[in-house]
Amino acid sequence: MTFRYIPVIGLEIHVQLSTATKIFCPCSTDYIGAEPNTNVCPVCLGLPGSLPVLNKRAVELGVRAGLALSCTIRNHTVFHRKNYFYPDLPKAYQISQYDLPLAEGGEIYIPGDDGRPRRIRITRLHLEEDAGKLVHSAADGRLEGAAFSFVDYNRGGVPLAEIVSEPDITSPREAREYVARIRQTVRYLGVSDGDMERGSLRVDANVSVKKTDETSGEVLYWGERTEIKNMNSLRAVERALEYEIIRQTGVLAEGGSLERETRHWNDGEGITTSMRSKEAANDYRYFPDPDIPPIVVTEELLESTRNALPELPWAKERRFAGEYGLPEADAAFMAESLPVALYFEECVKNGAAPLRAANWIRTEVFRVMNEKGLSMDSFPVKPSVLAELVALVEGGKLSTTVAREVFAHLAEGRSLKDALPAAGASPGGLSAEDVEKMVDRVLLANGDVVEEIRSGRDPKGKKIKFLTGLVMKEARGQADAAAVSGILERRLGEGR
Amino acid sequence: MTISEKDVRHVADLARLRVEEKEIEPLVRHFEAILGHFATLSRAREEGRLNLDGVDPFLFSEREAPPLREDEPVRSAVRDDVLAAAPERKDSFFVVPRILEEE
Ligand SMILES: [Zn+2]
Repeated sequence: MTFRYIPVIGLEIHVQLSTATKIFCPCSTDYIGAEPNTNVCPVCLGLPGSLPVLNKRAVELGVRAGLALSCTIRNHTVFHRKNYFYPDLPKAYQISQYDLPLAEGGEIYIPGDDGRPRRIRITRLHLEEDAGKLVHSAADGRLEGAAFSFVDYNRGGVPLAEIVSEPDITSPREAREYVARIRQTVRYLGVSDGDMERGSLRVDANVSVKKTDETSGEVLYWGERTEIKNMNSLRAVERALEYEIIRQTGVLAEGGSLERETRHWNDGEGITTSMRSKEAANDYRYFPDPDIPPIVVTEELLESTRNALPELPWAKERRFAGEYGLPEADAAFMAESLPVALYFEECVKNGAAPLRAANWIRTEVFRVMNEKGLSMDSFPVKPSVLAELVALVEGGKLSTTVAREVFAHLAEGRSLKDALPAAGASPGGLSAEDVEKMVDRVLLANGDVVEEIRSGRDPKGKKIKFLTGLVMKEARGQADAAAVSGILERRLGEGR
Repeated sequence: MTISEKDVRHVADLARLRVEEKEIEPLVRHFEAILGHFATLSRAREEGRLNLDGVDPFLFSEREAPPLREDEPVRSAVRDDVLAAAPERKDSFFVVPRILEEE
């Protein structure tokens, strides 16, 4: 009998909601770089007698994300206490949700391994508070190895939405696609900045491996699942799962068994290690938080949120492909983020040919953005200016090579009027008339070649290329080669 | 409803309570009395003596949905007092015994 080992993956994604204040108290959520324990109050420090009051905005953002993921939103939702002792949790319980979460039963589509869209079911989306941060060594490093940890509660109480998938993911690549799709979606929605490195989007993966009979497909053994933590990039999610699946398959193939455990991804070494946790003994004893009566999600809120949903990434991709005729990959690239999508559409509205505009954005715009560490919003070349440049190339008035130089000057902050001569091009590029005149001159000066072509002695098109070269030389690179050879072909055909 | 000594120790463990050996047996009886009361109610319901049709679980004493808060930051002045009252601190950190889950 030959065996086949099939991985089963489910992901839990915590996204930090883009609110100004914490979920149950009015402390600022601005904890990055803040002095430790500055954004704290009796509520988020868990002082006796303090009462949590839910942040309206957190509910709105949760509803927005839930609707975008096609979830059903509960009209009554309840917060529970999840009880456990850990120093990052001053109350000794986390306020989370249990059996009555804000949103349930959604779905999202990702590009599957077979190239077709794959549906990943979303079990639920619930709201909860983040924990504080433990620092295990002081900044001076002298306390390394000491018997103490340092606690900062600035992050404690920051609102999170936890998005739980069904175990529908079948490969590390699909897991990565799923996380990317969720991240893109929450960014589109303005629900979270989705920054994995800074921890505003955190992924925990549940993975197990089924041992099946290759021929019958029968499941012979289903290994215990492990939970992987500490994956801080899309690449890390993929690598950690690849490692873990190989590890689990190896254990099962040798006839070993797996235990249910939490494992820590070590990105530097590229391995997962067991977290010797007390988790096994954890019994969270969830119960409804008596301080927070059930939250009512009104029909008005649902309606207004539904109406205010932006065009979602997958809808935008479809529209870009349909309306502008972009190939699938280009459409996905242009719809990748909202700022890029806006830039692209603004370019097109200003008269740029969509495919050429997309190519310019993919290559030149992104190259300069990466080199200079700029964001789309602060990019110095306005979409209307790029549209003008693209139109010059499209009209055969500027070669791509010269246009790239012009673009480099634009990216330095020059206007198009200054950038054209700076790149050695005439202001406004060459007119179609200019190009026609140059073609005339070249044809006149090369009568013998013209005769050869017209009498069919240029089967490989070498001679027409030679003439194109001469025109390009005359145009000092400002004309588009394809446009020039087009004109040449037309003119040579005329006198036949 | 049978409660074992092990159950009592487990619950005490979860709540981080130190329970003396001699306290265990009385606690078993307390637990059984409390849970037994609910078992009586459950039995009454099963036997049709207690009709709870259309009655939702009573979880909250307040019937009104709570007001929600606008997302506007307010700075609390409590921090210095809390830090000053901490058993141990370093600069503006609270200091706790070292905890590392990772091996
Ligand atoms: Zn607070």
